[in-house]
Amino acid sequence: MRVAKYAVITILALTCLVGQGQTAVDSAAGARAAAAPPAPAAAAGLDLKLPLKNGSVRWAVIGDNGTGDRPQQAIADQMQRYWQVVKFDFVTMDGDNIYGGHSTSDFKRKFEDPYKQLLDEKVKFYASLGNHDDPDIERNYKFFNMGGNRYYTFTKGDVQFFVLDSNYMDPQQLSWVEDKLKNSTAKWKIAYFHHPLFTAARYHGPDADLRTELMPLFTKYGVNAVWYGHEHVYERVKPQSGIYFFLEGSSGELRFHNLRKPNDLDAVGFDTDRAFMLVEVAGDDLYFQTITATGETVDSGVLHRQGTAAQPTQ
Amino acid sequence: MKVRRRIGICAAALWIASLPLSAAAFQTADKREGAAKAALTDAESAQLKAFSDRVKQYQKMEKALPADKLSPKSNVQELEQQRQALRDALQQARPNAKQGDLFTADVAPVFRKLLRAAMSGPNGRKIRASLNHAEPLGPQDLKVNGVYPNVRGQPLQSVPPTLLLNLPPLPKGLEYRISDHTMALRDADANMVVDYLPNAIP
Repeated sequence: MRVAKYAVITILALTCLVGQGQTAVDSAAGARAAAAPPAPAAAAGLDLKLPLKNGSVRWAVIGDNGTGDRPQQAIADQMQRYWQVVKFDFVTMDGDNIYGGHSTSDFKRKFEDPYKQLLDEKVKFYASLGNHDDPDIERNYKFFNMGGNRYYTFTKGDVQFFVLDSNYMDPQQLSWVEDKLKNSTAKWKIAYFHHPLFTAARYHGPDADLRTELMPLFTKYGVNAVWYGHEHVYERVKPQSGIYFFLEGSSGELRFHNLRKPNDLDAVGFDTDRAFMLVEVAGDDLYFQTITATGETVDSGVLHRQGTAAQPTQ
Repeated sequence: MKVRRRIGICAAALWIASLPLSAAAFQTADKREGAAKAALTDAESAQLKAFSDRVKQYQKMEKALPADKLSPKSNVQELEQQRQALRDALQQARPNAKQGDLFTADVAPVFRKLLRAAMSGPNGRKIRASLNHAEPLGPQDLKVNGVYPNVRGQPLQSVPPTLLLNLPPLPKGLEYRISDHTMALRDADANMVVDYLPNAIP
């Protein structure tokens, strides 16, 4: 009888837990059902998961990319293939944009050459600074669109981006980000920077000190989603305090099998190939797709803006 | 009796189900603690004020130099040349600069006290973990007026935010940087070591 009682409790509890998980993010299958790939994508042999809605904001995400090696080029080639159909306007960079030396030839080999076709198509790159970057040259490097600043903000349609320098989060920067978040009227607030607040990767782990300073601001001022890198893997973290977190740090570097498995943190983790992301914001929905160097889609789905009917309850 | 049992089962299920919510609530309660600031005497506070004045003097001197600060360009070589020109001008303007000019013997123990308080305070473990995550390189050869040693692709050690909250604020363009147990004052535009404090990080 007791055993039966415990079994019932466990089943009830598990049902509640599973229910919570499902409300956090619609499945990839759900996203596919909502919007079938448009004809041009199929024609191009692409497994596109984004709906490509009229007037949507579309961008790509890369991180820890600036090696100048062949895998970086393979990711850049996939980005170019998808750009032909998605026509994303810009690329956000999670840091470690240029590894090693920072001479003119390094910038050519590790950035200008791999992304030449995208640059030729006037796709803009918005960089954040990683610990391997030369902060003073890169913030002034015109193709990184940082305007000479370590941290900055820009807006595209309904989305305002807050690009932070997690290498040096001084009180001035914390005041700046608080002020910008407080005064933001954007429907979507998205932050990105280099060091992870939550990760199941083993090499570095999360930066708890940075988390102590940033999470209260993100929760207080309604940041919807956060991207970071540093760990050379891909992770979609389960919502934390209602905020969506992605780690994309494998667009050039890769730490093979570096994710703790199993772990309770990730909704999806991927650590066996390089990857980049495509993102589309349309109204209250954020669609995402994570694509490897061989063109395989390893994660996709749609997230709903917090505060709307379909928001996660966590 | 049956009703009581059902209530008990539902209560237990709700308690178990609420565990992740409790965890989330704990994360949001992660307040901006700043740091365990060391209690300073009036004399120590005066030393920090004098340090800030020396920093202001340095900045005033730099602003008066004929060299331009960096501004956005697509030509990396030009940016590097501009940075070199600023560094040359700074070196010429302070040819006799030496360790301890800004981190004087009087203010050095105050900085060490502030850093010790931060490292042993409630965020001490997080600060140490943060320093370790930032790919520390170990001891580096810091020289006053010299290039900060990060130009050959070495990662630039990031500085934990709660450590920075404990230190006197710096004007834009100057930074505290950590290299092993040493804390440096770095001119960001010139990528130059302005001064450094040995044995700063306990």
